[in-house]
Amino acid sequence: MWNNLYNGLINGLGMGSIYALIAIGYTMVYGIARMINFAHGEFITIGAFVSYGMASLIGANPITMIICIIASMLICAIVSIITEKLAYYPLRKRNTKRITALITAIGVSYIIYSLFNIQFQEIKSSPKFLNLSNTNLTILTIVITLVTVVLLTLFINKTKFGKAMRATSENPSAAKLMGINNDAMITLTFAIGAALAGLGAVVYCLRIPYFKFSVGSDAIGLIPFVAAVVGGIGSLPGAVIGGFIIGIIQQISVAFPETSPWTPAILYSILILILIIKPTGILGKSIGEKV
Amino acid sequence: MLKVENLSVSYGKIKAIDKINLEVNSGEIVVLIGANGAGKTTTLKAISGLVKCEVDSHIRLDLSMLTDKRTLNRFVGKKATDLLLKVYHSSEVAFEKINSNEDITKELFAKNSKLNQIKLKRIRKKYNYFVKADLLKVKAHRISSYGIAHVPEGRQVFANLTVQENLEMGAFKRHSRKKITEDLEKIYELFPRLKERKKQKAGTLSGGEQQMLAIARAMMSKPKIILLDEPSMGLAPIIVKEVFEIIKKLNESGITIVLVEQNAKLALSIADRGYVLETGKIILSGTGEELLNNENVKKAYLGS
Amino acid sequence: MIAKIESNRNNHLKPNYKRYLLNGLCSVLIVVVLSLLTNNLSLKIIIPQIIIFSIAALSLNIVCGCLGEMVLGHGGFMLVGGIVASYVSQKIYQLVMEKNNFSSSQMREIFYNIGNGEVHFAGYILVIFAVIVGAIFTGVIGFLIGVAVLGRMKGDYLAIITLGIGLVFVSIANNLQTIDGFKYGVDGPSYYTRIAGNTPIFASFLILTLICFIMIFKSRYGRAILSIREDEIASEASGIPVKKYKIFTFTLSAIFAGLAGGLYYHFASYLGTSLFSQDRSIELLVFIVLGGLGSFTGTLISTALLTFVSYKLLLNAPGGYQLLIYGVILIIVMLIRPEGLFGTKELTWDFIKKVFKIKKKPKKIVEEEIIHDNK
Repeated sequence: MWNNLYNGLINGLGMGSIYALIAIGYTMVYGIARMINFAHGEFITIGAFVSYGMASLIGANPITMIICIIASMLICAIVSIITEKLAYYPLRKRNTKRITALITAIGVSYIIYSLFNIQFQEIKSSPKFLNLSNTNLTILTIVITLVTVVLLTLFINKTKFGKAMRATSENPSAAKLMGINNDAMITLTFAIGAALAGLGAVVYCLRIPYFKFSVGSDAIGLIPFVAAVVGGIGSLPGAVIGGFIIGIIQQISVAFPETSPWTPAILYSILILILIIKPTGILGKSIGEKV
Repeated sequence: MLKVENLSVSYGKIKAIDKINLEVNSGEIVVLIGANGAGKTTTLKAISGLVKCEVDSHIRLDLSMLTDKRTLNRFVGKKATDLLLKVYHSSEVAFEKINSNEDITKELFAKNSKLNQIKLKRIRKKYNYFVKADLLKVKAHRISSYGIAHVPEGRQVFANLTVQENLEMGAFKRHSRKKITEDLEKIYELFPRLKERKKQKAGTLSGGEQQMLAIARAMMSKPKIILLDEPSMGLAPIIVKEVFEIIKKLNESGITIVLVEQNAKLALSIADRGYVLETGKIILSGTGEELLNNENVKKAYLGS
Repeated sequence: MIAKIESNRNNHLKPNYKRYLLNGLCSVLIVVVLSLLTNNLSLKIIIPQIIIFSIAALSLNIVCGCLGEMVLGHGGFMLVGGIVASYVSQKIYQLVMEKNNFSSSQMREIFYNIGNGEVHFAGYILVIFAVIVGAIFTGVIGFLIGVAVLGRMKGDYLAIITLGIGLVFVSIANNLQTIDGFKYGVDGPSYYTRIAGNTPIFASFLILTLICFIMIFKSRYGRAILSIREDEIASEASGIPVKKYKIFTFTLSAIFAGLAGGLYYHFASYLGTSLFSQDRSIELLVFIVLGGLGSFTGTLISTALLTFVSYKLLLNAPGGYQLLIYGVILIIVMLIRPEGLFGTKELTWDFIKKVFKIKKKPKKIVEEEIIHDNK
């Protein structure tokens, strides 16, 4: 039993760091645009295929891994900027209801999903960048995630644009008065979130030896979203902590055959519990409603 | 300095402001008074670009608003401005020269090369992009570059940012780190309470302190005009006095103030000129004293 | 003047028998048309599905459209209804067989005629009973959830929590199969599909749903619901018991979603949990948004259209393309007409009259008499 627990913990930390990276994207976009971007999961698919494609071009070793990471992050950012400008920005301009943005996000996710579905039917084997044991891989994954999170937090807290992003997510109209371009900030947020998902995709490829076109919606699916909500949607450290917690719980549940088939129920029940007990999440702040 | 012509704003089908005309001259304190819902806040929002106005509305800026060094800096960039000032010595002349179509390549760059001509074209393009005679065609987040700062109704500080960060946001469009730090020091001298709470989150400040912060934040952008929306709202009378002292000080240092207030007596007492708004229309205008002594104003707003 | 006002008021309160007659005739017409259409084999599969999803979409619309609360896990309710209905009908079938020691062929004799495929009265009763039990059970669950959740959260949080609830239901349902004695959803008696083929039954359920919703939501109660959607605090201040109404609407929506789920099982003789997972919930949401949130007519039309289109696409194009076209349609509609096909309006007799320029005979003007009186 302890073996199972230990495996679950290690895997949980590893998967948790992937979930954390993706959850950051969900939480940042929600914080600044008040929108649940259901299309976010698809960036995993994009990142996975980009790194697969690059690896088949330039080979798979630690050096090319860095290149693949950069390429994946770049392309994900570019795709997210394009979708934001084409699909979400016009809606924001016209002040449509939130459900419209939701449906549009669903439409975008369908499009990306089906594009990959049409093009790549077979299961692809992940590029083998590194040859590490499971434990070492997990450590590397955690290190990558933590370094990224630290850099991002520094950016958000110390740089002018980071502060401007925080200001925009808090009070868009006052931010406008300061000369901050709201739309640019939102686009920047989308891009950062997507780039992080791209990074997460490469990390995923490191851990899981194969993937297919549905990896964004089936394998990863809504779990990072659950992590973001549990940790506190809108809060960056919340997304990270939520990612690790959910990852650990998931992997421990999967490690024991008695609980394994109940894993989704367990995870979503945690989501429900958190929403009932503390809706703003573990690290979220309670925002009272002004009448 | 700033002329509002024929301004109309509607929220859906409801007309909030109906064809009003205002004038703001340099160095004045202009006051807008009126009952709740008269359209005062909407007027300020129209000027600062937060609401959309109807066609046929215009807000025109004087040349004096556009030709000073700081504005030039913001529009064509520091390098170009330094060059222009080196050659022409005064920003007004520089503005004229750019605005015209004269070929001033030789004057500016000594050599009349193709590259320099392109450089001049780029400077002109940047300038023309910003110099629109009608403020309403400018996007909201560019308005602050014209030297117009808006202190919105209800303070609207960034609650989760610290006091210092709020002030830094005020200086978002400025680039000279040195000057920004200097100005921060000056602001802290002016508002010692803000200095005490430098690292506190702005949401934890009291109402009066938040108002000071909002005004200080507006000052950080070195504006020529400050639009103040109901600064006395929700504040204790003694704090209101402090706030108005600061407003007077600001005006003495050369900043034009457009003040919207429900507290008509206090507002008119420091006003140079004023307008009375009622259900979206301007029904009276005059100097501060005239309005203070006007019978109708007294009955409706001064309670005597 | 006073006499005129009074007489107008009376006219308003008198039940509009003409209108009821028209609506009744229309319903019968719909049932007849649908039944005739199902004689066409290809439509035989689509029409019951359209009916089922219309019921489900309508039940979602009363919460999302009329009440204004976004609910994301609606497929879960369908699943619950389907499971309970299938369990009940299979259990009863089993019990009858055991109690009376019938053989399978004898059972079939009771419920339907092997020879000509005609379903007997007992068969219909069994199915209708099972479906209604399923609906009620789902309603109870919906009520419990509503009480627990609707009082304390709304907006995005409510959407997320309903999403979670729906997914939990799916996950639990996946595992229920393994529990002994709770086999549901498969191996249903094959006569179910014949019931589905008997469209009047299904269509009657749809008409029943519509009547129920129209009576509730186009009345004073419905206007209260709309006001809750617009401004909850103001509604509460006006004396509307917001929490009660919300729970009521939510429970109602759960009941009819369960109804749809039960009907689905008896149409397909199969209940795959993947059919009611998040994809289905999203699909229902898309139906009502494209048709117009709050518009029943819009929901009906968009459900019919989209189900039909997706079937045709399935036939002609490989799987990936269907979703691609779907997604593109979604985005285009959201960009061009975000309020959906019908917005919040309905297709009413007044509108039809306007279109065909049928003039109403002007009511007798009582004014003239009054003027005479005043003289």
